[in-house]
Amino acid sequence: MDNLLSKLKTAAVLLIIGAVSGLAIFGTHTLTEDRREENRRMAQLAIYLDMFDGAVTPSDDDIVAIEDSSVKEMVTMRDSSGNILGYAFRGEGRISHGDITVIVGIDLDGNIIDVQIADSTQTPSYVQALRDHYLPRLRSQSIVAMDYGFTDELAGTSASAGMSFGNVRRIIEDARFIAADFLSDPVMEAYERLAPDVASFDTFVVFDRAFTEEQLIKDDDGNILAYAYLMPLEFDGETVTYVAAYTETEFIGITVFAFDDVPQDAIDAVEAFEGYWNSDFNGLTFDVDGEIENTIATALTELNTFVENRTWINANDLDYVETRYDGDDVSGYWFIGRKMGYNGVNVLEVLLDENGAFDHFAYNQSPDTPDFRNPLIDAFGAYSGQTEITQNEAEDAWSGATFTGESVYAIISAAFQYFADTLGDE
Amino acid sequence: MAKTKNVKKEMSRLANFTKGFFKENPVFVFLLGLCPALAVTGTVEASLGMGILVIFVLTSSNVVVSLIRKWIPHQIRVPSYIVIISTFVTIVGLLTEAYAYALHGELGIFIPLIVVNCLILGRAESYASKNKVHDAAIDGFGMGLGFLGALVVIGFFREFLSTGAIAYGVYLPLAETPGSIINIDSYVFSMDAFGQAPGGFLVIGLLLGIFNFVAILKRNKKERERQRMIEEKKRQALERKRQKAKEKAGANA
Amino acid sequence: MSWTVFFVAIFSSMLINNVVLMKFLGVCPFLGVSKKTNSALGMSAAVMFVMVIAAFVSYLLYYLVLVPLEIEYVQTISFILIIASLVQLVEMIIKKVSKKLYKSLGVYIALITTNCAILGIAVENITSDFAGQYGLFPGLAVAVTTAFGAALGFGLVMFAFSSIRERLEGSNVPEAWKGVPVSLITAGIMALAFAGLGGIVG
Repeated sequence: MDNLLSKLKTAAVLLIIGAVSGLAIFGTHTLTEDRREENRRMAQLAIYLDMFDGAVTPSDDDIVAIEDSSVKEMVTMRDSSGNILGYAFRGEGRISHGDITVIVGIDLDGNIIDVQIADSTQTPSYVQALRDHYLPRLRSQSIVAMDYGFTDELAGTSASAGMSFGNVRRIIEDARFIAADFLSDPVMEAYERLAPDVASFDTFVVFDRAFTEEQLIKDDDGNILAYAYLMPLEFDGETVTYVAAYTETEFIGITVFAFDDVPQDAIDAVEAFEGYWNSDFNGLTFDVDGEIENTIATALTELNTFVENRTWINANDLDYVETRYDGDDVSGYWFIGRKMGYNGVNVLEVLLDENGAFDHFAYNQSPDTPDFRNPLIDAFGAYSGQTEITQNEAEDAWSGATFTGESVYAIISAAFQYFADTLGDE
Repeated sequence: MAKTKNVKKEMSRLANFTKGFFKENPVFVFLLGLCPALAVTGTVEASLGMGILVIFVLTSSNVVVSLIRKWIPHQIRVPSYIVIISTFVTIVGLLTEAYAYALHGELGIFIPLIVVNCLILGRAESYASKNKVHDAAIDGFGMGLGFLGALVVIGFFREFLSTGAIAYGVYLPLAETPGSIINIDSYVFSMDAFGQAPGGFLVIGLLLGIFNFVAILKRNKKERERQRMIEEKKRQALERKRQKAKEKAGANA
Repeated sequence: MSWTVFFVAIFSSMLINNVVLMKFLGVCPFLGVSKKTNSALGMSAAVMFVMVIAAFVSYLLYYLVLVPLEIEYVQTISFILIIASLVQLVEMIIKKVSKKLYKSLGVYIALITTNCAILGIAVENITSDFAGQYGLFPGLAVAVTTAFGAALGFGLVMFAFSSIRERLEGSNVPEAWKGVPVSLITAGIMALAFAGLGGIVG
């Protein structure tokens, strides 16, 4: 009996302690619930509020979740009387080195207010390098003419900094496309004139000719609508950027990035080319009057010649080859290829001479560490004049840069192969 | 007679309160609660915050354990203590999240981990379960203060060595805008490692070593003092012996 | 979800975010039971045993009981009770199954309830939101893997530290630094070495 009683007592004590403790916790929880919720929300929004002077806590209607983009959330920031101050974007990036959360603030004039790394599990010292040396330069830039200026100084610090940078840039680009729907964006407007379904564009190849950049214009599903070429031309010390677009068979047209400071006659000049829109580019010549028009025509002719001489390959890591002429004779073949290097995709230019012998290669775009990739230019320079490169011979030069070296080797080999299969027989 | 008894009790109560400061300091003497002492002492403010939370939990759990000490059957006492302690820890966690959100973020996982701080369970088991409520409260508060003091000392060295400044208002609602008490802008005080994980071990190790060193110096001094007294006594004895011998010789002569 | 997730989970919780040296969890046994290599290994084995089971049970408890009932705020109290009863259970089972194992592990198992690494990893598995990242059951696998890696890391550091301490016993340490102070400084230097691993994986 005593035994049973003491057991009952034990159970009762445990029950009472449990009940009282449960009640106490539940009570505190209920009392502090609202305040904690508010705190959590404020902590999330604090970074937005810091960016926009005079902004008030956004209402739920102003916070929009975004799918299928590196940007996860767009917040419309308002002042106390409800006027829109600008838009804040929260984007997330993930690489093998960790996650990164980036906040981008854009004002109504389409200028970047600030870019901040809110949270990151990527290597702290690299993220700090981005914060200290890189993000400040983005402030107050116009989103339509971003100068990312990501140069080798930062890439040289490390591989990971380059990748963290890639995340940040991706998020800014995505934020910019979303913002373009709300803000006037001369770049998007220009692309819409050329390809009405445009949803995004990407740098494909860079040049140092009359045209400086080839961009892929894509629709919502990522299908390529056109290839656009940027042509910055100088008139009286002002640089005006024209953009011409091609499909694989046609010249689509030419238009201009009509920024506020672009002179009206430079904008109007493109009207002279309207007769050439949507025509076969083979043998196309531009016959126009006027000084500005002629300058444009010269650049456009250079571009058109390049497009005519270019053959699409789209296989074995190669994008295309440009046949180069010296008078009427073939003088060489200029390949563009791309392959994954250590940090990301390396875009390579490979030049073969008219007999298919290796002349040289160059990095068109490369996120890889300069200290690793640059020695390869010299190392491969030794094979100049050869029609074959065996991997073993070059191995020493690649130590420490295996991935970069492999990508260079693969693209050069693909160029040899393409020459042997297709060009050599001509 | 009654008067002296009272005085004696007062004295012991004061001793009970202050014993945790130095003589029985939970961190430096008993090495209890080292996890938070290492983890959250990167800055003075975080140390202060953790100290306050521990004082609250320790005092409350001591009081409750002491209150119900007679009703708790012996075999279930430890689970009961754990339930009581974790109740207070949960409450403290919720309150911190509501009223000191930045501190909550900084202490993070170490708030729920107060549950397994051996200091608290240790005091419940060894003191509160055997003593009256007010004694238990004093013990909890005093021990908690000792813990807080130790944390703040560690935090001071770590923050100062890693940043050259002692900041306030960052985590605790101490001021409208954050500021700093000391701020020495010198490259000497930018040893990041002290703010991060390795610094915790190094600073506590160095502090313990220095405390030991001081204690040893004191002990040696006492030892030397004693030695000197002994020597002195020996010398005096010898003197007296000589004197006596001399007197004896004089008497003989 | 690829297999690399598991590799990263083990690697990062074992070396980069080492429980003892980087997260300061389980410092008490780290200093208390590391005088001899044998006892250090015994403790590590016991910790691994309980930590993995605790991670498994606490994860399920959180997502299958606390979340549906919307009482996530009782996490701390429920986890510590689960761990305490788990420790009792494990002790009983080991006692029944193998007297020999009980003899070598029994002492340490009793100490584990107040080892903050166990509760710490259980809580951290929840805050890491594996369920949100990978889904409920793949998340469970990641959580258990993380716990396993953490226990491996604990064992590694215990073993290394106890070996160092055995050597320290015989060396000429100034009197004031003998025992705990020099151990802590040793641990600090070890932590410096481990800090160098940061950034290998996220």
